[in-house]
Amino acid sequence: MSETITVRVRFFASFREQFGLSDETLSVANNTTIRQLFKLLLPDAEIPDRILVARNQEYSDLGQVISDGDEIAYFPPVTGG
Amino acid sequence: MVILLQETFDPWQQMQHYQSQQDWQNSVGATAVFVGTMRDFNEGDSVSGMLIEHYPEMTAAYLEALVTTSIEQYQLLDCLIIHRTGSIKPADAIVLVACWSAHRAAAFDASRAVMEKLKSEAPLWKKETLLQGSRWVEKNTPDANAF
Repeated sequence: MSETITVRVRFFASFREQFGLSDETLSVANNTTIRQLFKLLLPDAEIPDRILVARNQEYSDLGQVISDGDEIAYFPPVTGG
Repeated sequence: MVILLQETFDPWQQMQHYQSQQDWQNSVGATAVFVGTMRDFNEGDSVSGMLIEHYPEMTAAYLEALVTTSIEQYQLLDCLIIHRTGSIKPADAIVLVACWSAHRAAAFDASRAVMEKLKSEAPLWKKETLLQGSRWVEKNTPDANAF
């Protein structure tokens, strides 16, 4: 089994502007969580209190372990409608 | 049916056009329609325009699942959601939710419930243009009569 996996990471709305990241692809270690992935990308940033996360276009949580080929998204509370 | 539009749309025309093409149109006893439009003020400030950002793949998938579950839950004949993305101006329609059913209770209840779910969970974000600068809308107004 490979020791690293490849994931696509997306940021939306104010998070995209605040963190200066939009659409990234990177290799990370197996068993990385969505929380750890955020800190790998942004080691100096605090994880916002009101963060929402999605894994493969479905709502998820920071403790979820990611898999090879996953698409992970970070975004603030939604304001549509 | 879910439609995400980059252009200005007439919600009433869209709703009637959609209904006229459906094979259930003679079974409808009730139609409930919600139209959300952009207002030119928010939190005490004049707002001259708005940008609506979305997460294309997830927004479409989320709203399509919402339509499917709402049709099942409320025994609707059909449900149509249209939502704007991109740049909009005051008085433009932002969202249309139309629910068709045999009797009124289902259409009323479903249209309200669909809107509340959309506002609290659908991945869409508004950025307002003010007289000076712009700002992201931080949260939607909570539903005073949440289900």
